[in-house]
Amino acid sequence: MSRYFAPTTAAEAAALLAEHGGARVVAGGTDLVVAARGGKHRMPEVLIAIHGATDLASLVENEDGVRLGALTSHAWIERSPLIGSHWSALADASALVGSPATRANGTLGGNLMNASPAMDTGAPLLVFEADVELLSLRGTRTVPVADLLAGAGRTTAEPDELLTSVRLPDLPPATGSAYVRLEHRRAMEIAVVGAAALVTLGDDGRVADCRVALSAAAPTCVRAREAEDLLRGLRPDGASFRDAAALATGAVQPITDVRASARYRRAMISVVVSRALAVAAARAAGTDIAVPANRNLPTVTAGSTG
Amino acid sequence: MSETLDLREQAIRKWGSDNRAIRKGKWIGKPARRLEDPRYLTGAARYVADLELPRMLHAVYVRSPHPHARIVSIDKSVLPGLGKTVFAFTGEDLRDVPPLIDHVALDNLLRTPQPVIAIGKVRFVGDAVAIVLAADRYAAEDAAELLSSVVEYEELPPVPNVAASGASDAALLFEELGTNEIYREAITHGEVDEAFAKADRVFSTPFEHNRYMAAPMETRGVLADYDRADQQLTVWSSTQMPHFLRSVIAGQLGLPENKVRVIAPEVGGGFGMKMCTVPEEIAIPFIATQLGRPVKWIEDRHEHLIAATHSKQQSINLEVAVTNDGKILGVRGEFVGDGGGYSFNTESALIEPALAAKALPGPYRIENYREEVGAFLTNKSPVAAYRGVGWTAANTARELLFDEAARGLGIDPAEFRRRNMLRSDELPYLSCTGQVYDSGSYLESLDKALEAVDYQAFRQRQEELRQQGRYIGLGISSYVEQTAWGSESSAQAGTPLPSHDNATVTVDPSGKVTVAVSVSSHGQGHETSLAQIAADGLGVDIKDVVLLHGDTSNTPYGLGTYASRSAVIGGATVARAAADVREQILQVAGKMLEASPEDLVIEDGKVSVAGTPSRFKTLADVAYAAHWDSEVRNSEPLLSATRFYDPPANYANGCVVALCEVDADTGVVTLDRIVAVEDCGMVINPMIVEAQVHGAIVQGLGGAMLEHLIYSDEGQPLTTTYMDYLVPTFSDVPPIEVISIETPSPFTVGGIKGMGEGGQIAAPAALANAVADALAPFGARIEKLPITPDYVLRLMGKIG
Repeated sequence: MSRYFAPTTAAEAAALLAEHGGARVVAGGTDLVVAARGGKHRMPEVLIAIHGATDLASLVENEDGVRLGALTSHAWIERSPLIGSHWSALADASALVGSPATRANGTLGGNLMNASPAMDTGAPLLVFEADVELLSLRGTRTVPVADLLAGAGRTTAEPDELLTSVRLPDLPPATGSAYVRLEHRRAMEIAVVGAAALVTLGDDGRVADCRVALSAAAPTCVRAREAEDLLRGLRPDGASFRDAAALATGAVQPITDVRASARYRRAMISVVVSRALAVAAARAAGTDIAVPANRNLPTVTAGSTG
Repeated sequence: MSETLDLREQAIRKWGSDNRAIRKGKWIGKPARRLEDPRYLTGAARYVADLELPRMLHAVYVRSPHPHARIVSIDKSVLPGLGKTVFAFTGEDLRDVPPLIDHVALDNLLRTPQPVIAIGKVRFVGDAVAIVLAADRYAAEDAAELLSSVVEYEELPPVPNVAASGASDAALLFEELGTNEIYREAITHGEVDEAFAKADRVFSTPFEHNRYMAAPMETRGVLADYDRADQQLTVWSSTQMPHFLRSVIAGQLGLPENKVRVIAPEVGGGFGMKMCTVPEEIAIPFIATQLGRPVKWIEDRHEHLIAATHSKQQSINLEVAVTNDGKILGVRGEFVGDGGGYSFNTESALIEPALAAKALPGPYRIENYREEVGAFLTNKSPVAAYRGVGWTAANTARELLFDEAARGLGIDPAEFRRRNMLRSDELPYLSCTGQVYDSGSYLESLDKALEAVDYQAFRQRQEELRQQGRYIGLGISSYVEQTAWGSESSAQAGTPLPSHDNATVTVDPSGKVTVAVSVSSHGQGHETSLAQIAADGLGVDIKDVVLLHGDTSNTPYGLGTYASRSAVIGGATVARAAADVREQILQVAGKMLEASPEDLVIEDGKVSVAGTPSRFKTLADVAYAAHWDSEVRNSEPLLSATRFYDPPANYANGCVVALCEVDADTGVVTLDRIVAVEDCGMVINPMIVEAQVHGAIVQGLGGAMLEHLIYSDEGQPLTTTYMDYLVPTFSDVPPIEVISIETPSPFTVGGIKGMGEGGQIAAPAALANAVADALAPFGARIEKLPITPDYVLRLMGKIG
């Protein structure tokens, strides 16, 4: 690394990005710096550190939902009553990221732009159908998160584009969401596989709408639409969740790495989907299940969710 | 019985068990708060990384990215400012420094001399290729990155594991040896073939013990300063063995030993990893002597994971011959070590397999046993000591197999153990591998642990829950822990190494006590526990005792701290020296009080006539007079004594029981509870003992459930950050209860036994047996660690 900039506004950061090809943006540094120190890649030649760009740390609430600045930390999301009550899956996810130190430093924008298939916030943002705003000298454009994620470590953002905010659209009433992941260790962990689910209950108590997305199951976080289609109109019970979860496996192309084999990941997709659906449905029905759902699952007996 | 009594007498005659040397007063046995903790807790403690010297250079290593390669060229000329602001040293530059070779006294062990920086070829990813130095770490890192990019290698076929290492066409790590197998030896004790021939049943298991590592909070680090005026080399190192390191540095660098001073400042954990001399501890001092400037190297975390020594990896094939009623007739075991790129200095690649083989019998009556030990070189970081060396693997394989045998015979696993375990009245006992178990409570420990978890109730509940599709399990792991490595212990362990240790106790003219020891603390609480012994020996408060350790210039010669030796050896040397100083004090006080020294007592810092507490002098008064009053002082007035101790081997014991539940959908294991019964003879400080048990169990838990240093088939390390190498966090540790039994050793001063490794030795088997027990309905057999959820589902047959 030879040059380091610390702009104080988003516009300044975008100008620097335009000026320095190959520059990388760093916010909390919990991915970029750690990976460089671990020998996974070299530090980029130019670093643009945006932690001082205060306009990237804003929170805007309006009738469309809520817009979170790119610098919003996981720690803030984890503790926010607003996110916890409305967009619970995102709070579930942020609460699981790394350690307290990682969550205090790591940002939502950084988590997204690092584009790890195992990122915790990706699947929740997919079920919320969130979109992001990208800023460059050419202007601003809005991109759905689903279109932003292009592959492992890759996004569709141009090299000179800066992610400035993430919008969480408002949700209909009687909606609940959850994010559940499998982990080897109970803290400081990366998802072995993870699933986010969103369930909206109709007046008849059946599933009026639902969305399911997966992490660490494919080169990007992905929606499991077949599972969603099956579940709409069904009763929100264990049997329906299991049937839907079984279909989620169709959306996955897991890999083998030091954490788990592809076979294990494939087998676990239905378990985490089923568990996420159960929590989301319970929350939709008004049951209080504390964030993170992962650490507050009801006692599970064999076969009840598998 | 007569034979065992002979053993005891021989040992006592040989070693002189002067139990009277230790005085038990107000402090020994008390859970005294640790005197060293305030500086740890307030961040005031200073480690190597905290030290700064004028004109100091920072060293950064260039390390091999290849598992096996020839170094073709290293073009240092690419470095801007070379020889002025930036300095670089390669293996060629250190050609005059002799390579490091192990110290194990076995003729048929092939040696693998390790240059302190690689010369000619590299043998693992992380092998040292060059050292780059600059005035600050940033400049040194940048220069190292630049130099790293121009090193030319000719890659050689990697040898990633033992199977590849032993293949007929395998590339050789040391061509001159003609083989990668550096050791193979089989020894038969008793009538093994007969035992197997007459057995009703034979049970066997292959077992792969995973490669994991100590990963202490403080990584390795060295600061060296050569004073040209005094021709004195001072080395600060995060080491467990400062005096031994001094001897090695003096030898390697050709310096007079009295011109080398080694200081272990605060050491943030060692666990055996910082026992052996590492190449960096030679290379950095050498460079400091060449440049005439202080040189500091602080290992970073990534470097630590790939280039610090690894541990534990070995393959064990174990067979046990039994009768239908569960009596063990004989055991056969093959222990093969995966030693990494070099058979590491000090203890060699045998440190895992040979120690495992000798310790295999554990607390059981095993008279017929064939042990076969092999060791191979592979292109991985070398294997060296880590808490529970060899013994962890032996205990895990044995306890897993015994559960398997019990299940196969339809005998309760606790009962199977009882039928084969040595009773207390059978001790001292000479094991078939030549280990003299001095005393212990093997059956009592097992029973106490089972009682604590209400064993029968657990079995009932297990049955009920199985009906509901829930799987809970209970695992038992009994162990014997060889402690107090002196000459005899190391010989009984299978890797003989002479031992030498001393302590000096001095009372100054103000009556305060300074204790200088050759053992070296890296967090164990020596400043408290050894002060407790000195305080009781001299009748003072522990706050009046200062303990010096870790600096060769103010402590007597000795081997430092490893293999649970410091309580026994440090404790005995301090007790003996304190007893001598006490005599010196009483001589002076006798004259002052006009009483016979035999009639005097020292309590609470006062010397008084026994039975007449009003006739007293304060220790301060006596000490003052002892130094300055020519009427009463002794002919050798200094109140000081130095004493030596090389203990007979002795063995702690205990039992760890773990309870778990397996999530049958995900294979995730939740640990519910761990109970540990620990018998380490006379306890000096129960709080420290309990904390040692906790710490060792957590490290054992890490090895059993999470920690695994994984290499690809191409020899590349895949676990290069702490996100991939999973050390247990607080939330992964269940409640741990520690129950103490005290069976004093008849062989050692004060009956003290060492402790601190038992948790790591026993916990993995307890956890593995708990999981195997939970999964018994699936016929699961655990044959490797760690027990990942993925592996659990495979054991259950849910994934292929």
